[in-house]
Amino acid sequence: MHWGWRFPSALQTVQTFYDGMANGQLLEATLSSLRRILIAFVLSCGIGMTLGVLFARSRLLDETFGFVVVALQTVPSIAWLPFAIIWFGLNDFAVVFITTIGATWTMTIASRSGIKNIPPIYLKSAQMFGTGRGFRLFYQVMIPAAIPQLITGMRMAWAFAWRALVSGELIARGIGLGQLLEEGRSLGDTSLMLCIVLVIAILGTISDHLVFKRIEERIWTQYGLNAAKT
Amino acid sequence: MFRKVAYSSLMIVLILTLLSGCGTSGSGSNGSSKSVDPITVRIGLLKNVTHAPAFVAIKKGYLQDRLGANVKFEVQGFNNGSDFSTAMATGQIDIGYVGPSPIINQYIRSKNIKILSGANNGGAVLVTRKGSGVTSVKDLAGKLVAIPTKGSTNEISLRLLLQEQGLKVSTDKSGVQLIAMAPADTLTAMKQGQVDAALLPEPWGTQIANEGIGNIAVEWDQIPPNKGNYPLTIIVTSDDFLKEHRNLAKSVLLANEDAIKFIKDSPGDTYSLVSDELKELTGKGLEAELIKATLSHLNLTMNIDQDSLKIMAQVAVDAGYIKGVGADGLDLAGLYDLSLLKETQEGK
Repeated sequence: MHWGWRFPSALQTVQTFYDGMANGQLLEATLSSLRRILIAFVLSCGIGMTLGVLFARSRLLDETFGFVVVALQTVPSIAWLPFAIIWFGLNDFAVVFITTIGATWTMTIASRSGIKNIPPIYLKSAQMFGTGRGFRLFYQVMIPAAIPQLITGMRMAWAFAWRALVSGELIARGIGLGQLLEEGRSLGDTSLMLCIVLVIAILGTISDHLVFKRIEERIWTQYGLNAAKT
Repeated sequence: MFRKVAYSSLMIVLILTLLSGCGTSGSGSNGSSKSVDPITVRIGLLKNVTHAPAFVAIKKGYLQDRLGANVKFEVQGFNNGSDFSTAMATGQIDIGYVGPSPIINQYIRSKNIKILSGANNGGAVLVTRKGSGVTSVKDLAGKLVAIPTKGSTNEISLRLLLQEQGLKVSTDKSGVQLIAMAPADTLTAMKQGQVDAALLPEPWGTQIANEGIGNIAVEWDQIPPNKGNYPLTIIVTSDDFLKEHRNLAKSVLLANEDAIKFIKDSPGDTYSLVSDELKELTGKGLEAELIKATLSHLNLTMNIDQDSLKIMAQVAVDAGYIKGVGADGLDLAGLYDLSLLKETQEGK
């Protein structure tokens, strides 16, 4: 067994990273992947929250379409790729589509349970204070009360989106981290493959630590849910 | 204490079972291989008609004759050269037919592959989709062109074609965009208008033209390098197999020679053999018409044109597929072992 080329050395990987950044290929791939995932993430948060709220508020919808969403959540988003290719072609749109699908259902379910789990006493007292049953109740009470769950949902959606993104990019055209990973595989370039894996891991950690975790902690503290911080 | 010993010994037994399980499945599990000589040669090839010598060697029985009755062989079909090269470098196949470029890319990294012989020169064409507005190579700027895999021999040819016209490969509309997809998918993608052109091994080009989806823009004998007369299918083996079973490797070369002779002498009898083997590999045969067209679009030869391979390797370096190589530092000397070919041709 020659493990020499099967697992790249740290030096080779750093060299590949440096080369990729220097000639712009890796940077371009990272930026285009980030662009796709951000578009998909915003879309899936929007769609997911809307659906979640609808399901939480309407029993009829929940018992019909809500069931479908739970079923859809079990479908890996890559399973939609063959459809996406036929519907949209092998372009960015297809990748954004499956990434959105990959993250939407998680977001829907998180926001649905976020709203559903609001203690009824909050809603009743809010109504006593005169919010009515409409938009003000929703905006002033329900959304703030559901935020901790929404943030958790977003964190999960972000992770799911990455999975869908990379698997979609492995097949679609253009440039992105998935495409580079596939190129590394085609060329037997293990250092490039490891480099991409590290970039994805680093991006994931950075976004989780610097964005979602911070927001989550701030909100938990703000809501008095974080015992350690008080 | 006893329980601890019992537990750990159980674990060891489990691990050993797992490991031995890997061993048998890795070396090809033939139920009846308990007899005297359990050698199984694992042969790899691509499911392309440009690999016709391999198909004929298998179907006509040349391979079994040359290997001898004690040796079994099993055939693994691959979709592209990248997968083949990875399989060969990691010891999953022993010897086989493939295009040269993926082998060069892999050799630079793993240094455990040898080119033994040629099988076929040329046999790829550039097809353009009807309605894409592309009629010649010049028009490809801003278009999407499909190739079987990144770093494939076809991609190298495409890059040379583009170079001749001063076009660049890019990831946006400023140059020519590339996409790697299996030839069968390319046909569908072209039908749907998703791909503008493709550089493909035959018969895919002819098939796309016959189905009225596209036109052949550059014929096989105009594809660079060397106007179609460049190695497209070669025989390669792993260093390990060559060291341990040099005679078996030679048998494969002899069978290849037999097959090439057969195809040249009686092309009419070849079509059904090729179609049958394709059917075994892919579940689908091919019309004699298409096989005939393919065989007239290539040049079967055992010789290896090292100059063409050098040009192709340089393109791979320029494309960034082979890294860390100076202007003249690409050393491919260790990639060839043509001694067996010489023995075969001299009839030793």
